Amino acid sequence: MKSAGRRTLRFIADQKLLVIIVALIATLSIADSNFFTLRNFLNLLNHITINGIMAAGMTILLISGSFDLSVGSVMAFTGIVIILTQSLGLVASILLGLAAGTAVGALNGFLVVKGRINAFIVTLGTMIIFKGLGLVVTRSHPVKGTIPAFQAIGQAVVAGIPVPAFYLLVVYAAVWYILKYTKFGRNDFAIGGNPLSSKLAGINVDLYTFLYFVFCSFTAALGGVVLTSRVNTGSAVFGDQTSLLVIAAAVLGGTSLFGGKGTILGTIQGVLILGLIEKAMVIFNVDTNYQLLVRGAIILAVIVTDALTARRRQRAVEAVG
Amino acid sequence: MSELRKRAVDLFYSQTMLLILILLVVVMSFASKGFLSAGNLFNILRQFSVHGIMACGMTLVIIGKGMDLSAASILALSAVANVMLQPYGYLYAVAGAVAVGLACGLVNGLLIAKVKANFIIVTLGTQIIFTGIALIVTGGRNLRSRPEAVFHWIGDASILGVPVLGWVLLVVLLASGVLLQRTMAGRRLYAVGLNERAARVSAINTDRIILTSYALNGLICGIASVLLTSRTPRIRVGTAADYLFDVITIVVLGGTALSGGVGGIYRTAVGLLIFAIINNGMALLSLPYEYQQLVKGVILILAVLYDEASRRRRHL
Repeated sequence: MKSAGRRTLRFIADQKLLVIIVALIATLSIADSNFFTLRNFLNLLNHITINGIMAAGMTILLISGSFDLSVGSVMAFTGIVIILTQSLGLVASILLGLAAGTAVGALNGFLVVKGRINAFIVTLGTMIIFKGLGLVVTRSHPVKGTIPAFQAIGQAVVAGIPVPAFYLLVVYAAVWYILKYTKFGRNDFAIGGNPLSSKLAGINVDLYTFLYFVFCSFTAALGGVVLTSRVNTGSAVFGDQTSLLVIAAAVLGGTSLFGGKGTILGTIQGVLILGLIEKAMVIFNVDTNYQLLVRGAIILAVIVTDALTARRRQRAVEAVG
Repeated sequence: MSELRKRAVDLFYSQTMLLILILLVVVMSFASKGFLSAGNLFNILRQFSVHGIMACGMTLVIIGKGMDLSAASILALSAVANVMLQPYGYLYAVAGAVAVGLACGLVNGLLIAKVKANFIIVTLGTQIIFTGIALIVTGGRNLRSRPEAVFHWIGDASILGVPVLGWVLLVVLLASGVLLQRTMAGRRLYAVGLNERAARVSAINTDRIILTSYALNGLICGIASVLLTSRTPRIRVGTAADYLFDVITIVVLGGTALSGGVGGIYRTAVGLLIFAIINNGMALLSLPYEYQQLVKGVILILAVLYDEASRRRRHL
């Protein structure tokens, strides 16, 4: 009896994120009588789609021990390319947008792997450059889409369910499968855990690191497609804080900035928590400047927790060794 | 012979930026008659004093293998403190700005050195928080500096023909240069930046050195904010963000390595001059703002790439 109680407590302690989610949902349901409805949940799901898709790619990259600050710019840039090339046709424009966004990842990966430059400074640089490029080609003004059909991608509703929710599901199922059952995924954990021993074990660390950068940018480009279709506008100022929030969501979900650790199920919970907090700030009518403060505080809290956990683990390892 | 050649190659790679600077000065003085006049040079000094001062602080942090992405937000928040305290007298205003800067730097330093959280995400997080506080305090309105005579004097006056802003820049450059080259703490900072673990087993208190570098950077941003509010009567909190990438570009252009432990204030001064001249040139060409940003981004990346390549070439 006692042990069952303890086991329950242990289970709850292991599911901190779920507890937070339930607490947030409960609070919001009490605060707003319209909150606890199916429609609202579907809206929420719709709302977190973009950050969610990008966080999935970011999770894979973070597990390998790298990271990418340029995903926000990639998202915005993809959208601008799509809108500006719509004269070539819908499918062509989307493909070009995806290619442009993914190419940024290839550039990032190349500079990190071949240039041997710190991932942070590379992606900070491409973040600035592609935002700048976006500003230049749009002359600092948002550009409007001309193909009405394009809007269906991000806005359509099938059987009462917003279509973007399906994309989220597909991406998460795919990444879950990749991490669990493919070489691509297993090497991810190996490289993040210890790049040197991975290399000695015969893993082409450079090639895989490059591919993780490409994959991460690809998901950012997908996020860009959904966003752009939803607002039917391309703008270089989109996504200024997206990179940080996406990284924060993944780290909140238990993926470590120190590499080698992470789960896709954790990431979706992290995304959901951040989405709920955004929703809460709207419901409680929080001033936009305070919203900024809350976001910053959350990011710091998440990263501090990650660092403390990593240190505790390090100490435990040292104590054993 | 080969020894001589090796040394020549070494000298070339280590002083490339100085060569570029000389080249730029020569080209500019031919291209524009007024370029080498004292008036234009002092104008450049005045315009880039805030950049230069902030670059000194950033140099310290980067030599310690760190980076402060919240520097521009510290600048903005200190400027807010400065302007809000101006009614109580200039001493309070200056002290308040510097104290706020120092406090912000301490927050960064504690989280990075003591908690051992990733410096990039920490400073990106505090960047959002500092900007958020500045926006909340000002209600999102522009800062309007109603300065006392002292601030007018800082912003406009000259001593011995050189603008006061230039003198302040010179003092900060010299002080940080001496700190880095001639003090125990400065040498230890290089050691920590090169190899933190080796520094730690050599009985260097690495945590304290790193903490101090971020705190000093905050303090220097506080000083820079006094100059900013003295020079410009109206400041938008949001535009302060532009300083960040400019400052990082200046430090990297000079040749201070982002991988830590290499560089110095002399290099940052060279970087500042190159940056100032390029900016001056782009302004003369009346290049649109977006293009200017793009050019700066490309310069930053090229400088980093060149730095990495040249160091590998020299087997450092």
